[in-house]
Amino acid sequence: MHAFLALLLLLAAPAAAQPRAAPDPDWPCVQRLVSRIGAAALWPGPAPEGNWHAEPAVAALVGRIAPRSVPEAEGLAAIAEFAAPLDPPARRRLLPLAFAGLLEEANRQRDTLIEQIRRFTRRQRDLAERVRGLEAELRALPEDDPARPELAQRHAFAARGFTEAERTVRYVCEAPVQVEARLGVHARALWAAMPRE
Amino acid sequence: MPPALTRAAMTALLLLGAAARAETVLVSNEKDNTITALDGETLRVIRTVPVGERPRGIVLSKDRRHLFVCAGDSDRVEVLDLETWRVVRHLPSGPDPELAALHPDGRRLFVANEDDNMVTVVDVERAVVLREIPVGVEPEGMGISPDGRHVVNTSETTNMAHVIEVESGEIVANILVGARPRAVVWEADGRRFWVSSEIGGTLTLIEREGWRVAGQVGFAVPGVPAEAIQPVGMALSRDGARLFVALGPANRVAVVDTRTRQVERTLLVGQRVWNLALSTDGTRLYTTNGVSNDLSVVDVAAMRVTRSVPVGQAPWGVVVRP
Repeated sequence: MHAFLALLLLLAAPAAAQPRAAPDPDWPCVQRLVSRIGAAALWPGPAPEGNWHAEPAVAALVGRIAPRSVPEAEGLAAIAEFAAPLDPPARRRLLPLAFAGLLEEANRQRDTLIEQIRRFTRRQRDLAERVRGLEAELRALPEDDPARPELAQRHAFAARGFTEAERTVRYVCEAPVQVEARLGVHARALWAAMPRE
Repeated sequence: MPPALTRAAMTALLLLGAAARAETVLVSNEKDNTITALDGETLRVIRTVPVGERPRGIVLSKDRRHLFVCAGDSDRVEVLDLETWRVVRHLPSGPDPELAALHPDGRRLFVANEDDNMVTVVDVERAVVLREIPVGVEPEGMGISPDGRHVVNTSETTNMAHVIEVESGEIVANILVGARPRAVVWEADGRRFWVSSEIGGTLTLIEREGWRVAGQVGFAVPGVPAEAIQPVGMALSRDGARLFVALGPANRVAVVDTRTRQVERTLLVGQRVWNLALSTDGTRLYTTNGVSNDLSVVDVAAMRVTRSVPVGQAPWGVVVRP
């Protein structure tokens, strides 16, 4: 009975933890969902202008370091290598463009991750629904019903699945933050390579 | 080196050390479970001290010898000795303490327990719970009036600032503020206090007389989506003329004129800026940046960000020890 109560509480918890003003019911993270990273949150200068795709060197740099699998040190080395031969006017023109490209890619990566997190929430909601349904079935069944052991096992299995997934929420929510952190590292390196007035 | 010279050199070194360590900046690192101590002059890391799990709120003791550390995932407040750099005691705090405020008497620590909707009052000398005060859902911010008569607690989910009379422990006012209120900062004369609202994206100014809302402040940063502007930590300038407000994932600190309530400017700092502290002389503002894992330093007179100093993983709280 104790375990049963604990589970009920667990099932109730995600709903209770959800702040009332949260605009997105599919967003399970403590931190409010920020749909996209704005340039002004990372770039100290004027908003970068121009089409980064049209600059082959910039597009190559973005393509090389934007993927999440590229280690931070490798990204920083590539930025240094990119900036080294450029004179001040070229830096002023190309470095903001490179930032614009990395920003666009980071936002795209975040979109995918955010959609995955939303799917995770919906899956958890379905699973919670199933646990509740199995619970109701169990309650309705007489103690000595022969179908009970099998039903109890299904219930325990579903409940465990739900609980285990719920424990990963904190980590799941970290993924978009990591994209943001990575972009920040690149942005600061690009800005540091800008000519000082 | 002759002994006399060695001694002179040693003395000089010690003196230099003493001069350079006039003040210490202390930072809690939420993911590393450590406190970073930095020299207030050079901003070099002096040491990194392991503490309990998920340290967030940190408060200096009245005699400045100890640091109270809210270790949320360890469900306790730890007492870090700032001379020996060891955790010397634990205080009972209730579950998941997130932040705390020390009464001007130096004895009563008011702790917000995010998980059980209580404010716990702890005697820091005897390490006993004096009182538990039921408040709104998910208590968070805590601000004690300069005269010590009232403590204001915000509750994240109830969207209220609860005014508690310290002596009786009774709630004397519940004031509706913006969504998910976080920090509380009293002005020095004790006549008004400010509440930041993370999801509402606003500040609410409340007058003590009649516990009345005196005004609201909103923010807009061109090139940053509105939902990224999440006001959290706050600090008043030494003269009280300006309020600095950390705007979370907008990565900016807003500068608000406390008289006109106008936002004068926003300064770009590190990523996900959580909390703020001024140097003792008020010339520098330190910000903890939870995603870029650094401390930004703002030159207050020039209103410029001058440095970024790497600290631990996910820095959260910051306190300056004179």
